[in-house]
Amino acid sequence: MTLLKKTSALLGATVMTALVALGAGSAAHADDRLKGKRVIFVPIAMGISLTEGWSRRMAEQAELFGIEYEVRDAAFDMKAMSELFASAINDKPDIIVAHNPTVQLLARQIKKAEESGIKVMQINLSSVQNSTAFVGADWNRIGREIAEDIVKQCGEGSGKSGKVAIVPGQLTAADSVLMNDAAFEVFKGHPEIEVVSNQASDWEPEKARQITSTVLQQHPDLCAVFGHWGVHTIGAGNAVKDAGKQDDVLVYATGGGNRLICDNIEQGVIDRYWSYNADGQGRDAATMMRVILQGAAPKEGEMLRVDSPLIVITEENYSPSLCWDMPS
Amino acid sequence: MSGRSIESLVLALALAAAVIFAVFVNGFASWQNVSNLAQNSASLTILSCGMAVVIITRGLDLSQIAVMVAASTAFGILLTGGYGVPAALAVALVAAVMLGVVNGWLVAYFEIPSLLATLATAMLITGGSRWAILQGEFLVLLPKDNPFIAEISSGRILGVPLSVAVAVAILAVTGILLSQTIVGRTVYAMGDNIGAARLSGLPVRAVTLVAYVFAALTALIAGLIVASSSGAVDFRTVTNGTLLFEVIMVVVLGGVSLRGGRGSVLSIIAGVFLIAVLRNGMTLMNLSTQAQGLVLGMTLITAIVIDNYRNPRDPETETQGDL
Amino acid sequence: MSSTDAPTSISTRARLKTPLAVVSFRRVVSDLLNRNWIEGAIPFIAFFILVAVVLTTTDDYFSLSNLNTLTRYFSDVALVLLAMLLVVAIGGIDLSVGSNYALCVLASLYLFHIVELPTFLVLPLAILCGAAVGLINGILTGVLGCGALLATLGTMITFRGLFVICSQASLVEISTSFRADPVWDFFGFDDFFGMPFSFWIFAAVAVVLYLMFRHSRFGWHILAVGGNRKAARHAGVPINRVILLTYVAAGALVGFAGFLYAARENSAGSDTGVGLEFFVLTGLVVGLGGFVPGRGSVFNALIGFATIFLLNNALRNAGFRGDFVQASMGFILVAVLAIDMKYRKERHRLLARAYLDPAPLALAPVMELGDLAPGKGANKLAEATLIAAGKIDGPEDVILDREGHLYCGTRDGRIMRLRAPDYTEVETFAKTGGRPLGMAFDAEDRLVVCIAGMGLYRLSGAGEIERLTSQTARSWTSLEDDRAIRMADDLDIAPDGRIFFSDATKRYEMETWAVDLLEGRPNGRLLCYDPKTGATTTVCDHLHFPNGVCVSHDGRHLLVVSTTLCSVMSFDLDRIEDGPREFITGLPGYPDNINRASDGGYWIALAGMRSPALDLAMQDPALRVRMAKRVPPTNWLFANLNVGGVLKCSANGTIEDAYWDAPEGPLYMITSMREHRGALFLAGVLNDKIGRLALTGADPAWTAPNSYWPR
Repeated sequence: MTLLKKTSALLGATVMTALVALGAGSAAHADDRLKGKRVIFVPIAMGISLTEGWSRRMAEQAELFGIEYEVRDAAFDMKAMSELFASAINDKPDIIVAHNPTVQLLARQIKKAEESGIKVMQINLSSVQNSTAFVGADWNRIGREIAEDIVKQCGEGSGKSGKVAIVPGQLTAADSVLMNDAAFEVFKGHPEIEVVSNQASDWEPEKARQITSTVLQQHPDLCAVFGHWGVHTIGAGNAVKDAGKQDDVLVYATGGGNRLICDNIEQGVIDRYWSYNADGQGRDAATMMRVILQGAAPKEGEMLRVDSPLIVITEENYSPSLCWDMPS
Repeated sequence: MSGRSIESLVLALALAAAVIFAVFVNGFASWQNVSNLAQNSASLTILSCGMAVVIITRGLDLSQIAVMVAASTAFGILLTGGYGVPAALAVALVAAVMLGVVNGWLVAYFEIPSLLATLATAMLITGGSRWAILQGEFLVLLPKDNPFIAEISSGRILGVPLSVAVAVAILAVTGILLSQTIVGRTVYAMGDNIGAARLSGLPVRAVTLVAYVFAALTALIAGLIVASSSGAVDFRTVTNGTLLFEVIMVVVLGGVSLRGGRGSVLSIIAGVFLIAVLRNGMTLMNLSTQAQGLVLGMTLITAIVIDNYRNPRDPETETQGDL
Repeated sequence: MSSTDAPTSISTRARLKTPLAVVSFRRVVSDLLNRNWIEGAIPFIAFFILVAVVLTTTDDYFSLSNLNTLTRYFSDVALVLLAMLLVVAIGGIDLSVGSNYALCVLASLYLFHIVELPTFLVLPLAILCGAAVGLINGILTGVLGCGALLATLGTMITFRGLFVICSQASLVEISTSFRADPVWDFFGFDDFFGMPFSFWIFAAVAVVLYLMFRHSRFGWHILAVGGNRKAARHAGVPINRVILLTYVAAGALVGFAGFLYAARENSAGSDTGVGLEFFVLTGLVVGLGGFVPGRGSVFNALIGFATIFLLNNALRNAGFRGDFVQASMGFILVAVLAIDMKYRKERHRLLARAYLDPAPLALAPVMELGDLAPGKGANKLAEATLIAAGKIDGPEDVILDREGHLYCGTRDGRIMRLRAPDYTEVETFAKTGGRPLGMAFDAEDRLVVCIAGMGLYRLSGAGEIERLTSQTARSWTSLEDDRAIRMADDLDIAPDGRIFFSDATKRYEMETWAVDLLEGRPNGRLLCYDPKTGATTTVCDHLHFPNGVCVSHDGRHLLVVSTTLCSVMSFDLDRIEDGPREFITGLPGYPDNINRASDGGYWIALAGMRSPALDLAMQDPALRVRMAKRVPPTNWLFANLNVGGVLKCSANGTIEDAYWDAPEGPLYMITSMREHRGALFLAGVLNDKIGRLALTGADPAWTAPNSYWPR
């Protein structure tokens, strides 16, 4: 980084801080009720663009309104997650934001939290247990839409083989289960579509790459790869690219639309990307947080729901403005 | 000797598996698939070379994958930060060597059992590099359009993919190191009986350092290959541990004893060959990664049992629990 | 013969002060290094520091409700830790605990939610599932003899694969089941006396394991096999069976833990239990300070694990992110291992350097001996006749019974009898197993012996040995546990039957007693054993190498020799708690035993002679520290033990006569002597003979047994 860049970054930061401070001043006048409220976010792991994006937006708003905001990082450790969630309940915050790794893991604790008066907001991945609110993507819809697109591109009349390789993260993860269910439901009506591989990549790009390159080997006429998450699908896309089949095989992926992943569409590693825009989800979550703190409550047995709008990014409509950046 | 015959046994097994797959699995016996198989197992081969040297000294390097990820992270960050390839490579090289030195130092000078020392450094390196270099991120994406990275991932030398050529080169280096150099002889002597090696004046500590630095260097090279071809460095490669266990499995399957002093570069080739054939065949059969794990685990257990049957330990020489 | 004024003059001598405690930094360091618990104290201290830090930096982290939560999540992993402790104690390792755990979680969930078995059937089946995995590990490692690391690596990968395949089929179905059961919830969710029920289960298991390692044959076998497999096999321990059973037990514990997890979470994911083996191993390493086979320290292991667990939870709770937490875990692990290894390596060196702890000591100047000084007259001991030359080895003391038979101890632990009158025949009277030193006859003519390294023993007429005491009360001013009597040196018996004996030094052994002299600290003590009550009491602690003990002729005083101070002190037997008084100071040599003489006086053996150089060195502890550090022990300054002799003093302590040994022998380093019917019998701890010297002017009828217990 040059000195000039550094100085301007510093200047920018100072200006931003000043603006935020000004904003905080006026906002505090507007809504003193939220001051001193407490929100705890328990993510599956920090350090991925999704959670970082959400957390940034929530923290921003929390600071603005004088809400105490904390993060308890489970770092991909499910046992730690339930432990941290239990501790969070003991801390008696006003809201716990839950990021469910499986539909069952936190169910009891969400119930317990709600019973003790803590509002639970589930983010992106839902539990079987209903709580006050849910903000996130509709996995069913994503799975269905991608499957329908695959049918359109590879199915009858396309002249393609109809062979599809699915590369889920883990077969048991909530989003993978929902998307696969929806996709197979669609494929059921289209016997020409053949799922030739459905091997979990453990969310790792390298594993996805190896699986995909082997599948390509066996099925050189593969029509589409459906990667459940943008991050590991990069590996799958690279396998396609390295095999020189970039123009023959469609690579589908989903994700939060962070620039790092998004850029891969421009490079042709990923062809079609269903983005639920994590940055937007972050704002939704922050808004929901404030709405709940102001006393909003769902009807008995229901949840306040905000389903994230989806943007389908393809090579054709790609523009940098469709992706978002994490400020460094 | 019996050690050698284990290698031929494993090679024969791998060949048998290859023949079976070729007959029964569609697409296995194609030139393209063989090339694919070789490319996919290049990084595993390279890692196994480093691990084998450490294991022959009667050590173990549980931090190898952590070093691999940390070094390629440093490389990736510098590259995306606009530094040139030489600078990024130099920094990654220095980082890898330093981490290897730390491992060797803890094992050689503090005499901490290698299992524990490298378990600890693996945690330290993984957490530390994420914390210090990545500010907590899990992932570094590499610019695929960088010519250096493109060269590694799809370049060819004399028609051989670059990664495979590098793997062969590393195998050759390992072979020479183990069989033609003083370091190699010391490595075997240490694995056989570290007390005797020390008493006869061999530079035991220095060679331990060399072994761990070598392991770290192989980690760096393998890391560059993996990162270039998949376009990303992912820290979950460390946390879920499967790659590490696969490396140990490869080394051990080929007849490199965890009790040290046994095995050669042939063992690595045999082990990699078996694992690669099994993996590739099973992937072609659309077996899930987990089912593959099951088969590989059982293969490992069988190999251990056979090895133990052929080279039973002498109950008169064992003292404390021999791991 | 006895002068009546002697006792009064003894009773009015100057009081001697004995310190209440030895205060020395070196002493504290060396005592601490010597303690076994110091190793276990390190994780303990770490734990308490951590608790203190968390307490001061958080508001109510240790609130009851959070403690409840913490223990709930602690319990099942702690069970896995105990399983790991078991296999590590036997010298193995179990990398498959994580996979086993996951498998048992799945089995529990499947049996409960899908088969819908009652909970009391699910629990044993889950344990059985774990034990089955343990059985496979045990067969591989114990029966087939494969290396534990590899074998369990294999089972780890295999069972992980099995778990994931099985879970894919059933997890979705499990997650949609809504079966609830009060017993199931009781295990997973409910409290019992304010704590989670799972915590009580864990605590019970921990206690059982603790008792097993301490008190059961199986536990001892585990430790024996872990400590040294070859030795255990040679001792007849059924190694293969013990290893097999240990792995099965460990597997069963993991199964129990899996059941608890299942009951609590009602859920499993494909990564359940991933990395558990390393987490548990980290805790174990922090608790045990490394990887120590053959040690089943349940408590230490749990403290170490609690430290790791708490640190992990507290850091994340404080908002630190996973990467930082992981890095700090790694750092702590490296630090613990490095410190521990350094400590293990340096401990003995450090201990050896810190152990010798010299103090400044100014000895009273050598008394004027006039004509009695060595070299002035003939060396009278050269005239002694020799008894049993070459037949006995190292008689420290010699004693004669009423019939005139002679008894002495030897270096190999026997007590020999030489029959009167010619003392040619040497027979073994008793075998003690220690190093017999001072002796005395009690009122019933039974021989009472001080045995270095063992304590105070009594021999019957037939030579049967009976222990009187080997311990006294612990002194509370010493870090070292000083209950054991380390070097019982000499004794005498008061008219009321109480046995007074000296424990010459609490810090050195028979072979290194001379180093105690060099240290110049009050490391010895005077003890009393009362046969009526069987109690042993410390009469006077912190004496400078108390050696010979003798009850005065009138039975009212106790004379105690201090070898280091070259003096003799006296105690008033009626007011023994008043402490010692001065009796003789400034002796020319290092006195050893003291015994009655027929004329009402006393014989004092001088084992060696003082030298001005050593006297001066004793005033300068730094010099002696330097000497001990720089010079090999063979070249250290030492007391001159080559020449010595016997002094005769009167009842009030005036030296009346001296019997010096000749530099060329045949007797040297006299440590004891007894007068019997006009002759003096001489013994030396390094001699291979006993000397007999006819005395002129002594009462030819006087015998010591008669003097003590007249008949």
